[in-house]
Amino acid sequence: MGKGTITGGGTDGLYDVDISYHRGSLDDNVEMLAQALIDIQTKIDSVDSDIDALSLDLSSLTWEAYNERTKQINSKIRERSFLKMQKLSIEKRIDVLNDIPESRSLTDTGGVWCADFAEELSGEVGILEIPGESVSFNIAPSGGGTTSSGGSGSDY
Amino acid sequence: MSFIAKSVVFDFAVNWGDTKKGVRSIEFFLDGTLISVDSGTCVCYAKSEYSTSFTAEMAFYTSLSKVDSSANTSWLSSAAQAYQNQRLIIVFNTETEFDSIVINNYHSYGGSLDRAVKNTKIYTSTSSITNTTYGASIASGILIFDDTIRQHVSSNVQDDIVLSLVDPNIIISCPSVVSNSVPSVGDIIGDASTPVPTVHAKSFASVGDIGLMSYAQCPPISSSSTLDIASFSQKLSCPLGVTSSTLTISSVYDLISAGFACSRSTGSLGDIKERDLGNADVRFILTITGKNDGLEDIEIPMSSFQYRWTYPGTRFIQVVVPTLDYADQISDRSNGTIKVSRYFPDYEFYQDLIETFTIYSLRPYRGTTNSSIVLTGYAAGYPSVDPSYVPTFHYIDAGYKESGGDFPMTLTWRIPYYPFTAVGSDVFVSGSDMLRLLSVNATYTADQKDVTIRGWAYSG
Repeated sequence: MGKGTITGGGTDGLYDVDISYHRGSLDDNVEMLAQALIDIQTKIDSVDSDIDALSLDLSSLTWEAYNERTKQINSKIRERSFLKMQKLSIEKRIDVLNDIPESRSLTDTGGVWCADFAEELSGEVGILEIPGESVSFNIAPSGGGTTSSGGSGSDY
Repeated sequence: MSFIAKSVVFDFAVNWGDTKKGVRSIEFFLDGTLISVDSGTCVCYAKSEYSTSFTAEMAFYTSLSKVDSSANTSWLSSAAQAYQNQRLIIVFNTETEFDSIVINNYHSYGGSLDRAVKNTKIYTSTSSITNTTYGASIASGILIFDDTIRQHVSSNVQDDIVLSLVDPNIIISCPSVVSNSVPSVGDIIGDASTPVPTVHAKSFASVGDIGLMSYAQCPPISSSSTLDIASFSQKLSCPLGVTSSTLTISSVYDLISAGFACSRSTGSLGDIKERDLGNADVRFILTITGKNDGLEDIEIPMSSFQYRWTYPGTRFIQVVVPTLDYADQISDRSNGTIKVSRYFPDYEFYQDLIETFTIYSLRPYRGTTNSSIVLTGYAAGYPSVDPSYVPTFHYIDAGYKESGGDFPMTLTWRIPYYPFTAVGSDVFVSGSDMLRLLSVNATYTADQKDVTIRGWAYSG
C-alpha cells in the first residue's frame, strides 16, 4: 500500500489524487549504485593496465609465446567488455531511478476511486496498488493507511 | 543421400566480422566414417593464404588438431585481402563419395571467432576445379549447400558443425492432378522425362487467392533423370492479378529448399497476405540501431525474445543475446534502439515488423559455461511504422482457443506465429471469434513459439 494526496473530486467516491513516491529509498539506491560505478571503473582501469603491459614487446616473442600472449590479451579484452557493459547497465539503472518523480498526478487518468466510495476524504490517503503494476490505483477504504508509494520506491 | 565428387568448392562471402576469413577443419564422412585426407589423397587450393602456416590443405588434412593454436592447423585468408570473398577448393585424386560434411569453424585457443566463415556456398564437381576466383563458374558444379555457418563456441574445444546438405538428386515433378496437398522435399511423384503438363495451382503453394505461380521463369526441363540443382536458383514468383485456377507447366519446379514454390524478392504485406505467412518458416532478426551513437546498425544473434503489450500501455521487449562476443558493439550503441524484424526465407520476404524500442536496460551475465546479454526496451504510444501493425482487420488461422466461453466475454487464444499482433486491433480468429485485442504476450525461442492474445469478443 502506498500514499497519495487528494487534490479534488469526491463525488461518488471518485477523487483527483497525486501519488507520492518514496524518493528517499530511491536516492539510497542511487547512492549505492554510484559507489558500484566507482568500483567497476577501478576494475576497468586495472584491466586496461594489464592489457597495456601484455601488449609490450609482442614482436620479439616466439610464435608459441605470441599465441599465448594473444590469448591472455583476448581474455583481458573480454573481461573489459563485460565490465564496460556492467557499468552501462548501472548507469542506465541510475537514470531510470532518477527519472522517477516525487509525485505524479492521476487527474488526467480519470481519477481514483475510493474502495468504499467514501465522499468526504481529503489530504493524505492510503493507496491500494499492485506492486510493479503502476497503472491501476484505488484509495483505501475511508482513506486509511498512508505510507510512501510507487513500485520500487514502495515501503512494502 | 550421398555425393560423388572429384572437387568440392567452398565459396565464402561475409564472415563473422574480422578482415580475414578462416576455417579450422573441413571433414568428409561416409556412413559415419571419416574419410582420411592427407597430401597423398588430394590437392587443395585457396584464393589467398595468410602465410605458410595457414594454407588451404590445413583446413582439410584430417590429422591436424582442432584445438589450441590455429597455426599450422587451419586455413586463413591473406591480410592483404581484407573483407574480400574467398574460395577454397579440395580436389581429390580420385572421385570420392561422401554423405556429410563437418566443419570446425575458425578459432585459436577458443578465440578469434570473428574470423570464422559465415555465408557459404558449397559445390561438388566431377571435374578438377582449380579456379580460385570467388563465384567463378564451376564445370558440372552442383550446389549442395547455401547457408550460413555458425561460429565456433568460445572455448578451446572441438566443435563439430554438421552441415545440412541439399540432395541434388531429388526430383519433384508434376502429378496430373494434385488437390489440396503441397509437394515437399523428398516427394518423388514423377520424373523429369515424363512430366504431366497440367496441375492445379493451389496444390503447389497454398497461395490461395494471392495469384498463381508464374511458369515463365522455370528452367527448361532436362532430359536427364537427375536434376542440376544449381540451375534452379531462380525461384518462381507469384504475380498478382492472375485469376485462372489452372496452370500449364512445362518444367520442374524448385521445391527443394522450401517445399513451397512461391518466392518474392520484393513485396509488401499487401502482396502476401498474413494468412498465407501463417505456417511459413520464419526467422526473427535482431538489429541494434547505432544512429544515436553515430554508428552503423548491427544485426546480432539472439536466442530468444519476449514481448508484452497490454492495452493501452507501453510495449516492452526483452531480448537474450547468447554470447558476450558482441558486448562492445552493443555497449557502443547503448543509446540505440532494439528492432526485431522477421524474415520468411521461403518467400525471401523481409519485413520490419515493429517500430524500434528504446534500450533502457542491458545486463551482461557470465556463468561457468555460458554467457549472455539481456537487453530490455520499451516503446510508448501507438506504433505507426508498419501497415501490418496498425489496427486493421487481421485474419488468423493458425491459433487455437485456450480459454473462453459464450459471447460476450474475454477470450484467450494461442497464436504461435503472430508475436507482434497489434493490441487494439480486431482479430478474426479461425472464423469463429472476433476479438478486440487487449493484450499480447509472446515468448520466442528456437524451440518455442508461445504467443497468447487476450481480447474482448464483441461479435461473432
